[in-house]
Amino acid sequence: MAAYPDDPLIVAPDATVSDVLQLMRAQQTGCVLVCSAGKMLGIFTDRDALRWMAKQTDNGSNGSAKQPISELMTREPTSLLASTSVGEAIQLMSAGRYRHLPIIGTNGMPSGMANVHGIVHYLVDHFPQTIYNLPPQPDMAQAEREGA
Amino acid sequence: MIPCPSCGFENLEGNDFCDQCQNSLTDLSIPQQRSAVERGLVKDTIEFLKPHKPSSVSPNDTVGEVLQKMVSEKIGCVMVVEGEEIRGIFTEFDALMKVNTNAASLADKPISTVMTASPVTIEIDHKIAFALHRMHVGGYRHVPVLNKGKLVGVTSIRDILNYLAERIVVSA
Repeated sequence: MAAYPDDPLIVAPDATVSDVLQLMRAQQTGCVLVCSAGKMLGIFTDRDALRWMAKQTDNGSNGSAKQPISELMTREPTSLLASTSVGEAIQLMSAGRYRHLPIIGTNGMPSGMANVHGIVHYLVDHFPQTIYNLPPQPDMAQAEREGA
Repeated sequence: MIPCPSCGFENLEGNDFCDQCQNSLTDLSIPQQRSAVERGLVKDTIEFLKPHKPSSVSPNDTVGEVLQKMVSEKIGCVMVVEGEEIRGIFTEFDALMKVNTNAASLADKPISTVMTASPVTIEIDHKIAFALHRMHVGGYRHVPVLNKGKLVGVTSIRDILNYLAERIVVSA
């Protein structure tokens, strides 16, 4: 997996939701992995965070800030191995509509996090001139030809 | 006719810039674009990606209403629209950065207090390369699509990923 994986952000299963949300804000990341005893248990993404926040704004609130993250995480997420090809990662990502895929190292612990921006970055690297050398404004060309 | 060295489009004599990809026709040092994907990126317009119909809210809607709308409609971003003009955008990432653990206390505040104001937009007849450039450089997931200044859709990084994945055979 050469597609610019991020370092994984790891939390313990008994961390509270509010701690995790504040950590995600401080690190400006959309995804944390929940690990315990050398094993990945689950993933908690900004989508899960949104669900929790929506529940908080509901008057019949049934989620508290002290809830452990293990109750809200997605268990056993789809993951990649370090040897997985970028092509397979893209396939998994489009088929499962995922934006983040953890990469599991040889010791069973996550070693990285593949995300959709990294993959796009990787693809853009195939044709940098086309993307980076664009004209400054998209509408400089005339819509119609002038004259005759 | 002057074939554009960059995209191959046949331009009228006397053009300084290519009518299709807008690269200079006089500058002979411009890089050559070879692959079909690259030609597609400067030829296909945003319309080709079939932008999704945007979910819009008014600036006075409360944060609570908007969060619940995003969850129930299973969408990652809403457009904050006043009249026909786009005022801002509110995404999952904005929710995480600005609402965070204060969800309960912000629930009755208008969405305009936490939205990202005047987001980067793109016109529907612009080329896909520009959308990709904006998302890649700005790190955005969603770019609102306008048609002559009027909001008509939203294109996401997933659409672009699917577009590229269909066309590029990635080697391991």
